[in-house]
Amino acid sequence: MKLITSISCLTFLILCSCHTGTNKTNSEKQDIIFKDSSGHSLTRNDLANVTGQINYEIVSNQTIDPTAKGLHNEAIELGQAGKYDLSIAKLEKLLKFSHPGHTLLMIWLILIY
Amino acid sequence: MAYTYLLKGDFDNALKFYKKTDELAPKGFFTAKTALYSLEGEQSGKFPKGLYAAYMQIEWTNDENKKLEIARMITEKVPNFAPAWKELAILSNDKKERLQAIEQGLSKQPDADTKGILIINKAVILNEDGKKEEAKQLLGNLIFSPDVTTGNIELAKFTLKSIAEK
Repeated sequence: MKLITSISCLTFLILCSCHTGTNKTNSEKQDIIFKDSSGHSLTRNDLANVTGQINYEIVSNQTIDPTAKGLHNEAIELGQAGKYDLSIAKLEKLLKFSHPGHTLLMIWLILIY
Repeated sequence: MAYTYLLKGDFDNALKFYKKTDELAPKGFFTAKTALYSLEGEQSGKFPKGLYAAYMQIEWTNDENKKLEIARMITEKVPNFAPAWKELAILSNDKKERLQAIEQGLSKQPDADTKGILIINKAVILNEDGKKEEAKQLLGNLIFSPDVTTGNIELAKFTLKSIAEK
């Protein structure tokens, strides 16, 4: 009798776990928005916090040195005033400026501006 | 420095610094990919000198009609210049013209950034036409393509999310 009860319980547990597994698989399948033959996939969860905008400042977590920032602002103002040679001179000075806070983002900005 | 040299009309130095930017930020940084494509094309003789500066007038003007006029003019005069087709695809209110501009742009070996924007716009039109699955496929493939830019990944994901939510 004990053996029959144990087998019944075991069967019940297996059935329950199979049922939960099927539900989980179905839910995951419904959640997938994109899947390709190479195994890449995107779920609703992956896209939940997407805003469509990129903030390049998050690329670096270092603080930009205030002197470097000041030089960069001066270069931008000079460029906006049409004083391109003076603006370039400031940017060149910035590129030579060595400081731990001189981040990769700062270099990108100097180069592209 | 690249942009300032461009404003100054010194295209060789502008190209030099856009190249440096692209080397340091290979997944794209602002307009670097399109600038490089344009200025390299100008240097090799594929495009006329000063084309990129002329194209930038689209960004510099606030008048929507003027923007459209410049984009149309460039596509007529330099039809191999993909970024102008991209602008036309974005600015035109005529869906047929937009779709034609997208196909033209994609056929002109665009830079990675321009290519991504063209694909995203194509997906939007496909979705509007009820081809939701096709649109999702295009966006998903773009997101996982090796040459996609960081900016376009975000934009494609956002578009995919918007399409999937409807």
